[in-house]
Amino acid sequence: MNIIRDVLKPISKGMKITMRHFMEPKDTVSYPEAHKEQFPRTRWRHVLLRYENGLERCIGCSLCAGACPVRCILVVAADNTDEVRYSPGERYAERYEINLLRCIYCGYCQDACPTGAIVLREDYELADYTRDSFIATKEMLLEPLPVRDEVAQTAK
Amino acid sequence: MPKPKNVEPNLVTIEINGIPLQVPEGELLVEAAKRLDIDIPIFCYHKYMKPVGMCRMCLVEVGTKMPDGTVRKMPKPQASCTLPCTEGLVVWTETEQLVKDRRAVLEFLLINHPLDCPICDRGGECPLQNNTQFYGPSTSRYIEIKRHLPKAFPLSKYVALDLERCIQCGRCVRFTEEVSGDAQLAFLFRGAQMQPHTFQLTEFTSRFSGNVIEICPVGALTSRTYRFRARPWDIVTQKTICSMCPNGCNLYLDSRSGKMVRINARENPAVNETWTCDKGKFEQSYMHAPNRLTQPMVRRGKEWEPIRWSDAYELLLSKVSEAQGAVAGIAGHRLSNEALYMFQKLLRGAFQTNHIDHRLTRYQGDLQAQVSAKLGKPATANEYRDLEATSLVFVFGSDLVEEQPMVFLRTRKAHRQYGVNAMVASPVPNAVEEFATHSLRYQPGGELALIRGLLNCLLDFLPAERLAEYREAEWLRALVADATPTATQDATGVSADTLLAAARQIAESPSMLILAGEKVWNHPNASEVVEALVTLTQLTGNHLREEGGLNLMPLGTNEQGARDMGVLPSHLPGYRSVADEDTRTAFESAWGVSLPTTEGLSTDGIYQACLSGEVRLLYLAGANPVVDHYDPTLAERALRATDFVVVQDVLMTESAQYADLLLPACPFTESEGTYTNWERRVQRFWRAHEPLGESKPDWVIFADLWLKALGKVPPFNAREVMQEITRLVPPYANCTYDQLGDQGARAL
Repeated sequence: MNIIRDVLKPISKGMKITMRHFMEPKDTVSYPEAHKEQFPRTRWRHVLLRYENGLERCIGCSLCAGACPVRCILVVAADNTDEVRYSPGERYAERYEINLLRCIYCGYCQDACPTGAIVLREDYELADYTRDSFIATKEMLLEPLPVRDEVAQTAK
Repeated sequence: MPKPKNVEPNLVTIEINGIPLQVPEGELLVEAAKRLDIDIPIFCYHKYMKPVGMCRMCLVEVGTKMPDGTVRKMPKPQASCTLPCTEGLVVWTETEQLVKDRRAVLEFLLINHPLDCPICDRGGECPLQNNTQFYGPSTSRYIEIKRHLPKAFPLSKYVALDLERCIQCGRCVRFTEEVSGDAQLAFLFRGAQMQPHTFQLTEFTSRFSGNVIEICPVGALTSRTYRFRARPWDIVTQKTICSMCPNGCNLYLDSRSGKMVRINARENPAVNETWTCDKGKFEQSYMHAPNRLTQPMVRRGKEWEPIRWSDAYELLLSKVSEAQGAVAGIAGHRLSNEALYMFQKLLRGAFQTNHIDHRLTRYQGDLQAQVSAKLGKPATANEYRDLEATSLVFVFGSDLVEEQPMVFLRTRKAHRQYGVNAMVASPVPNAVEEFATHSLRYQPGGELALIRGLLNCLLDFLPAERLAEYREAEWLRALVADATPTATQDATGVSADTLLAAARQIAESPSMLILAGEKVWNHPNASEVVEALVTLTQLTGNHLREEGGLNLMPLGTNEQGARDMGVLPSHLPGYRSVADEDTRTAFESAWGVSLPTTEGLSTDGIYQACLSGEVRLLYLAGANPVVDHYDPTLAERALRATDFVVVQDVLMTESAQYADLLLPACPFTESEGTYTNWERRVQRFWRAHEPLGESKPDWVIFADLWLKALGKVPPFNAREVMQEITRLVPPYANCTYDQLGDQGARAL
């Protein structure tokens, strides 16, 4: 056995690779303090979007529920009135619930949505302790209201 | 000309897409194509309305076969909905020209259509959507601004109109003109501005308004009760029968998450074609009422205390044995045939009583002896088809549109389409008057005098051969000698001229069909009125004609079934007398019990017996006499006086307030069974929902009690009950569930 050829050379070769990667930027992050950036089209928890004026995009048409291969979406629609208006047009979703345990994150709901209201976004931290907490209600899914400029001004 | 019954049509040979086909002569091409499952897209055509060819969607290319075998093609495509089939017709439905034509028609229709399908209640089951998907262009060249009109305009309590979506097919307008007959909708304006609306924009008050929602091929007419409640893919559909009246309309019950969201018509050409009335379509929601009974309860002082089913049964049976035969039962009209059969079986076999009844009207006589024995036909002799085959429909003492909406609709159709005459006798304004040739508006209570007056005139008008056949003409002449037209005018307020004209029409009509209603049942001398109607039928010889006859129309949903199932004090199922030894032995051996031999008390008799203490336990199954009985105070006093009242019902009814024991039952949506409609058509309904709470189907409660009382094996499911009925009740011999199928069958 040649000690140089069979022992030292491979070790030094391996160590060289190790050293090379040691110098490079790291891929791992120290989760949960730090989070890794997600790909722009990643499909995790759903978000119900709003228009810029604060109205909900969702019109409660239930097409997402129809397209859903695991039937995990429940939409109960109701009438908009001029006094209480949630979305443009006649109809809005009174209830909008997704069973995240059943959801397979296929994104068909996003494809089916005629107004682009439901999108799958990058929030991937979905673990929880009870089954009930996996029912995402409309309040949980809905994008927060945009703080309007004048409101922000008066707040100052 | 009335439409003759049972006539074989002439057949002609046509050819569609190269496939030869035999069809009745004159059948519309669009219908003929359905026989080959060839799809011709349609919008304005409807099977049960006259074709108009308004939408141009159903275009086909046609030609005719020449004697030398060549085919001469028409230069332009034809609308198949207005083209009757004739010998040698050659049709192409899938040519290149037609593909272009259909695409053009759809592009044109979509110009002004808002395409708000996602929020439209029709989305997912919309003919416009479907046809566009299969035959339409994928994009539009139209970039201009679409017309804008009011959205969801409330046309009536039930119907909302969205004019933007309308494609002007005219189905709704034609429906109100041709079918419901009130002609309340019309087209306003012309051209692109054309819109269906009520005249003067008043409320759409038709009693059949719900149908326009179903026939609208787009979402222009939508239901206000169903608005935004579900989409087609959320819905579970179940076949059922309407429980609101004895017409037995076939329905689809659409539910979402176990709750009924809407009711649609189910096609049955023999019954409701594809129509419903608004009562059946919109007002049938009691299964989700807040006052549903969900568990057995027993009265403790003024409070109700929930108990278990087994305790309830034990309590009931101990009270029955305490009462020592002083037991009576009244069954309601919402019960299925199976439940009614088990009810009388339980009371007769286990409780040993014949005090069983279902009648809450003043007439509580023996229809079997009074009508069927004399006329040789049941008390309702006819079926829907006869309304079109007869030449005169005589509506007597019935608010037909209220009591029998579908019979009214079919009578009207018979009048409009086949020229059947109608005549009405009623003390109050009646919807039939609108198309009736004669209206006999008598003073309340004048029923008997009116028929006597008619008989008097008829004896003069009828041909001698007819009178000779009648045999008892002389006896009758003496009987009604004093009922001259003038005397009748004084007694009833019907002018002598009208009476004479009416009698002349009856005498000249080749056949007459009498529809008698509530005014007869609740007449103080109901028995005599029935007698007089029987005489009228016999005198005119209509009991001998297939398309004529007397129909004493039942008023409750399954009242006909209750009659047939022997929920009567004097008759076992199938109208066989309880006093008859042979009949009794047959039932005794089938049921394995001995049966009481004496006739029981009728409803009024039961109440009197309750008041005098002769009946100590009263079992009300689905009956609500405190409201429905013709004398509510009598019913109320009787319920108060009875020692122990058992109420088995779906809701906390007014009568249930007087109960000592409450048993929760299921409505028809939560159980399986059959209803018998007025024409004795037995039709199945299926379970659509799970029973609410601890409630049980009515027949199950009776079967449980049968088991507990006698220790005999009860039937296991509704199908078995019906099998037992078919074995023991001869008229129902053809009514096993397999034989009934979707469309039901008439009892023999």
